[in-house]
Amino acid sequence: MDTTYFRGSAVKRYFRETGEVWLFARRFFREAVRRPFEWKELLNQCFIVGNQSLFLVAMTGLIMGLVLTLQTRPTMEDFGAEAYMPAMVGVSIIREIGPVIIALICAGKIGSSIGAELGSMKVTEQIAAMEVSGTNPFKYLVVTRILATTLMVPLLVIFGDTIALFGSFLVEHAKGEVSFRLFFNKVFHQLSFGDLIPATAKTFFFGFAIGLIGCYKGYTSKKGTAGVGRAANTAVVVASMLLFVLDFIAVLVADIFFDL
Amino acid sequence: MATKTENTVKLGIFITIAVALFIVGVYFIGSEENMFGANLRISTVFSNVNGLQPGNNVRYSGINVGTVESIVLLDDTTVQVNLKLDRNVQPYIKKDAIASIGSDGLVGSMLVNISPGAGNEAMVEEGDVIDSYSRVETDELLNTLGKTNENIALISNDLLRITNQMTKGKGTIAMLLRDTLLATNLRRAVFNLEATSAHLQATGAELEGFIADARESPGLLNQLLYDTTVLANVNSSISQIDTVAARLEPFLQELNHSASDISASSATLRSLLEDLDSGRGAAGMLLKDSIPAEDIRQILGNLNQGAARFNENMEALKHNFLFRRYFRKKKKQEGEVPPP
Repeated sequence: MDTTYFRGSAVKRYFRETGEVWLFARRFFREAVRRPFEWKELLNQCFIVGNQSLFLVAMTGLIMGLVLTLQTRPTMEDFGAEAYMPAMVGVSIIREIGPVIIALICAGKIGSSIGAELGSMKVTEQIAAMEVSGTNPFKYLVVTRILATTLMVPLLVIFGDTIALFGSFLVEHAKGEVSFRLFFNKVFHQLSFGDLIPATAKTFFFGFAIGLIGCYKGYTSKKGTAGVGRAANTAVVVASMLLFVLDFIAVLVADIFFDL
Repeated sequence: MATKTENTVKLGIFITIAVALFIVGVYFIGSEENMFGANLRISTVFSNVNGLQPGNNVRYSGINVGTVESIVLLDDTTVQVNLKLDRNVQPYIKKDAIASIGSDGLVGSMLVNISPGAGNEAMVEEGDVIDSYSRVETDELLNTLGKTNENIALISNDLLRITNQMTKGKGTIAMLLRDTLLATNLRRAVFNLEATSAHLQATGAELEGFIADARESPGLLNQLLYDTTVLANVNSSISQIDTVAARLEPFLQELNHSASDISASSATLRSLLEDLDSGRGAAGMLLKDSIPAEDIRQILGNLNQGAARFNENMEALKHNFLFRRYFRKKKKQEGEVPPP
């Protein structure tokens, strides 16, 4: 079977889509700085993205802290290094696990919902109707959502990190009788700005990527209701992939500036 | 509308809490790195910082008091470590404090330990450079151990060679081990030593008895050892001898002078005798030179002959008619009657 055609087609589709995403992002930046600003819709989207994801992020963070500590502690005990547990868990959560896991959760929840919402609006021609009514659908639907995810995902990560550290403390307190003050003293003793700043900075890019991919997939969905599901699905998959790529780039850049 | 407002309030709460958490995190991390509050910057110099990095802790008496601000390579053997300390610990760190590099446990990160000085010095000031102490490196330790091992290998080789030679009967120690005659001699020497020590012991016992006797019997030794009046007498005798010696001193001085005069006379005499012996001068010539002696002898012979002839002449003169009257007159004066 000759697969050259299919491979050529997939590669071409990939490059075309990359280019379209780039143009979509450029249009976002252009529209984002142009009046009028949709403040109310932005706040609404922030509420949806931030507050309505809070419970999921909190649960994820708590379980993440609990599991990480429970899994790591026996190995650390074998080395007689259980005193380093708070420091190790703190660095792991703040630097890498917290931002990436919570961003992935957000990609799953927010990215899919944005993709599905905009996709259904697209296939039901609500977006076309908005254009006819004189409202800029891109500014109202896309700019607000991407800004909301860009601003809210970092806050969700901070929240999730805090709860994850608290979950880790619960295990340490139960197993090692470590006090609250000692635990957080050890965590902050080990942490530096080189851990906190790059980790927080990259979450803005994570949020932007989640919003951008979700909006792009929903805004450009086709083929009826099947296309809506496809848009939601691919939004999650592509956003998740993009998160790891961004994470890799962020680590490289942070290594240059913060000498990690 | 009310729901929207409520949602906005909830969003505000969420944002506030999240930002507050971030600020708290920044504050605690900044506190750990001494970013807030007054700081004191001092530095120290090491030859090797063992992987110390900016941001590592600085401990004073085991308490975290600051962080390593920067590490600067001054030259090929000198690394300057700049420390940022909490200003509150300034009164406790003296100018003679010593910095050393350690690690936080076996697997912990590196840190700078500041040990207190003697306490008599003034406290450190901004920009001071305190002394440092470089601990023994693991590499150096291993190098030393390597050298020690090489030395041990050399020593063991030497020992092996020596033991081989001993086994073959070469050398003094091997002779000691293998020579039966020497062993017999040694044994005899040991017997002799034992006998000598026995004699010494007996002599010691005798000496002890002698001393006991001296202590108990009223002899001279007892008096010398135990009688205090003897000592007084001896002292008195010594003082008398001193007096006599003082009196004798002028006499001895005179004697000394006389001796020196005699010595000078004897020297002169010796010189004279030497002259005589060497034949210098008339006397020496007379003593040593045989020719003048012969001449003298000849002169004396001539004189004798001359004297005899003179006597003969005088006798002849007596009988001369010119002088006969004189001689008769002289004899008459002396009571003799000259023959007619």
